[in-house]
Amino acid sequence: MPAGLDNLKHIVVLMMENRSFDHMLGALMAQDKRIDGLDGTQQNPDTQGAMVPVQPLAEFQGQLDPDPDHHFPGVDLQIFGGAPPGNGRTANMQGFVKSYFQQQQDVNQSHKIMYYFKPDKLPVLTGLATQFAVFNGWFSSIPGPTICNRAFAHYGTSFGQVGMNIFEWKGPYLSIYERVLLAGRTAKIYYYDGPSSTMEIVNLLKNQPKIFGTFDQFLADCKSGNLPDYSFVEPNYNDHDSDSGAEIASDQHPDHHVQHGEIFINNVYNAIFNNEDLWKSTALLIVYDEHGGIYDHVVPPDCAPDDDAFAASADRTEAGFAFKFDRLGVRVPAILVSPWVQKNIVIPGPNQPNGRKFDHASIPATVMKFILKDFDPNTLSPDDRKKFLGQSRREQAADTFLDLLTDNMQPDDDIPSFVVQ
Amino acid sequence: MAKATAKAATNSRRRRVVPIPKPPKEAFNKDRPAGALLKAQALHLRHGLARYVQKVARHLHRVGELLAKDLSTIKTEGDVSEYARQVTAILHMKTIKRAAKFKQAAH
Repeated sequence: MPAGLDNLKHIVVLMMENRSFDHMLGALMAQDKRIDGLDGTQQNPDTQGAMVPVQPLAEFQGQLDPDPDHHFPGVDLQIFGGAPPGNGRTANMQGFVKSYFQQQQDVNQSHKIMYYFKPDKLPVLTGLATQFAVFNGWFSSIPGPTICNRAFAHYGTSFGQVGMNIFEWKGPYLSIYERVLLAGRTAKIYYYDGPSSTMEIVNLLKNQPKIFGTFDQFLADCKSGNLPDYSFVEPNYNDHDSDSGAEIASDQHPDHHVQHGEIFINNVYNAIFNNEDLWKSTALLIVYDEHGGIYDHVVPPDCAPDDDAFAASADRTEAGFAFKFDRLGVRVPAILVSPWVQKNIVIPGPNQPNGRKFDHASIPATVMKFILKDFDPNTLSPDDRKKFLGQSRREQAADTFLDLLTDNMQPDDDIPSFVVQ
Repeated sequence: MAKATAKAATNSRRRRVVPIPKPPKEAFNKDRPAGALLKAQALHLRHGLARYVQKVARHLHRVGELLAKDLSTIKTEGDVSEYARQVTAILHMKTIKRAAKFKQAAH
């Protein structure tokens, strides 16, 4: 077993909101050809027939208002360019501008969906991506919005949901937190604070306060060395007042200020780094829940369908066809931060040699591997063992990322410290 | 609450310093119209609250019955144990869940 895996005691996942890979990291390709990003030739047709190229004009705030459509039918248009459902259509990522036009009928505004950030505008995200492991092939789990995609991170399935509807947990699969607890280990969802709350209401109903904490508690747990085996961190989802003043949304969901999200990512990274023992024993995954309707050039690959019982009917997809969860959603940024990760490694995507594809079901799948590293499920009662080992088809088929931890540690003095000027 | 704009914590272990810009405070806007995600979150929270209220109401109804119980009707050890079981179940939620499991198993 590599030393990095042997030393691993904590997995932390920070899930941000609604930005595509190309939008945030695509420009890194100019300095590193291994990045499957943008070379400036990518384009989309607008509704006037003009071709709209990608451009490095993304701004931190005020540009993607209204919020680009990222519900199931809208994402279908983005991926398939408007080709009607049916056999024989080809995914081409040519419908992003058309989709954004539908919201305001404004041609100029629709072009902004092709804008991306230059690396120097996102020093934290690109700094971590170029220091640690960046995934060319991490996709949202469903070509749809937040709630169902986040469900894949928590359960390894969305139980048939492709949208934002309320859903009741009906099993048979437990959340990854409950499975970790069954193994006698610890897990927590850290939401930012009360006014921001969580997007994981289903678990909140069942497990408050057993598996929930706030971001202040996360910081305290990092400092005191009491971080659970598995932690899932949620950013601040809205602007609100608090006793200490204005709390600015840090989730980077359009139209929230992207730089505040950078600072939040840095705060999570620093909290782990600043406890030396924790730094040496933690893998931090920074990932986005979905692309938020923003352009990415990589066609989402097919995947193993989810359980038959979870297939979504045409009525539920509202896109004119049923969905078996056999295609991933649009690609999102994902970075694995650990001193045990090889410096500046790019994990190839599915269209590249030795390519791999990940999605949010990879999160519970990886946590299960981590727990099973030194836990024998045969110590559980038959009933609990069945619950503990229960995984959706999607989770069973999902790739995992613990193999990225190596025998060698990156030295502290080569690791970036992002300091606000 | 830890501020999102907090500066990087100082640490004795030396790292390569990368300066990053200070984000603007002007980004704060409580009056920004809530998007679909936040509206959905509010809906989900209300649903959660409704579920919680139903649960509490069931318990409150039961609490009312137990408070109104005429203790003079408790004559036997069996009567006491049944009353004690019900009150304890109210006071300890976990006990309630366990009792429910036993009840389900018995049927």
